[in-house]
Amino acid sequence: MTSELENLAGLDPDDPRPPSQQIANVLRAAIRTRKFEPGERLPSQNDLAERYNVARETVKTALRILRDERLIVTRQGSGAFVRAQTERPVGLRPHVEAAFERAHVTIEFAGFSGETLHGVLTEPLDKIRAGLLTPESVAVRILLPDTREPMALPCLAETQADDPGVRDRAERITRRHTDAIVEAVRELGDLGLVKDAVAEVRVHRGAPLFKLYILNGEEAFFGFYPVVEHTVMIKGQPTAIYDPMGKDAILFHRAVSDDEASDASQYVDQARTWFDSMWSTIAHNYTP
Amino acid sequence: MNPRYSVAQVLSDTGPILLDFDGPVCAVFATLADSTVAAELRRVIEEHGAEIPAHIRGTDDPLEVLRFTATTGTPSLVVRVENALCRAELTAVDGATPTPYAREVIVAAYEAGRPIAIVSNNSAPAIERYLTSHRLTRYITATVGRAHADPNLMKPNHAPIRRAVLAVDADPTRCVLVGDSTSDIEGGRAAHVRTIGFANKPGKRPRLLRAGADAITEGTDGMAELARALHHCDPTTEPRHMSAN
Repeated sequence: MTSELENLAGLDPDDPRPPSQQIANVLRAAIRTRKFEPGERLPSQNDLAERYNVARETVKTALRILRDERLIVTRQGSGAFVRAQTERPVGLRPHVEAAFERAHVTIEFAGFSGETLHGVLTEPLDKIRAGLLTPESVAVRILLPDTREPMALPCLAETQADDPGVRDRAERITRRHTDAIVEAVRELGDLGLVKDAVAEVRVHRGAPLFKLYILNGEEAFFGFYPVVEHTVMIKGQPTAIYDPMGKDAILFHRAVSDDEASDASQYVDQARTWFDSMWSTIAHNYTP
Repeated sequence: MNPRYSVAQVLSDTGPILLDFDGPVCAVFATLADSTVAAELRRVIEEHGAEIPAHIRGTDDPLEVLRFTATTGTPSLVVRVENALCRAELTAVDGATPTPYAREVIVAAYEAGRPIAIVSNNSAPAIERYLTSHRLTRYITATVGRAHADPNLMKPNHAPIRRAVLAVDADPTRCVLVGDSTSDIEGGRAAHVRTIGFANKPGKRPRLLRAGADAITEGTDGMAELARALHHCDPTTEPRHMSAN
């Protein structure tokens, strides 16, 4: 442990960034360069505090940064460990990009805001615009909670109750991403780059508790939204809310196989059935 | 008279937060009135056959009544009144009113990686009952309540504050105590921690300043100033939720 500590780079006294950020940078580099292997325990908070001559809270803040980046996991009482490779989320992006190589592309999403979806669609849509991908049809369907009706989640933490200010915030985040997706897909049709290009948004009054992506009806990605509490500014006031947190969610991937009776084939089939049932029953067109 | 520092300055100089309970976190006696509890404690004293001086007869503060018992030289009386007060506090916290923005202070401090300890002259089981029913326990590193049947150890005695400092594992000068009474500020100074006075009632500001508070936050919404400062001062708390989905 002592030699590992000595091998860690020192802090630059001229670096204006807070020591916690600098320590996080050093540890991140050490993890990326495999000075610490996946599953290996990092030096203790006390050892790191001593090494860098900082308070233990500073080390804690540094570790929190790495935990938020999913580089480490912290276990109470036993310290911080480099996250094992197997715990990494399945990458949605390459699968979405591959899905756009088909002649007929369908993308279905059910979840909270469509932020991740927006992120992963940008590149394939750009490629169509650049003429690098030439699908005949693109159909995107987005199923979201209705932020204009009282919501179970997100909500005020203190009272666990619906709040219009909290919903307005959710609405703004959602609108930003869904508007951009709808606009970009429509543009492909208007430009004649895709014969049939449709992006539709429908909303429902269920709470967003998970996210689901279905690609070309053949692949499904599923992730749970844990409910987290954090403070956000609402109408200029700090407000503690309960919010669905999708960022750290591991996406579980299932793909249809030749074996229709296989677990994965049935999973995708049931995911499609669920999505279509929601879309055609309790969901309605989103007209802001 | 003005405070030497702003709330934001004191917070940027410090890490762990020591929170007084009744006032900064909630109004304990919002439903079960403190005067009712004080009267109940006086009844216990009378049952015991002890004399009650005029200033204790006139007080609405149950803690004052408890303090008085320590002057009677009758340990069994102290224990009886202590136990009666503990029972009353357990009932009271069920009707306690959350202080506006107290939750935001606690959650923002937690998000900023700052340990939070409660240090209070109320009994620890009552505090924990409140924290549990408001789903706040997970954010609190330690709860230091009133020493059982030993009122002399209550704030302004620095002993409970020092215990809280030990619990958050930091140098006292890196800790900040937030309290709404002069006993918090006096105890805080004796324990060498920084102090923020929460002047939640008219007239408190000069008293908290005279007691030596480093900074003052004022008004019933005073805790919002702390929450805002905590929200802005730590870069890791800000927009990470924005990429929530």
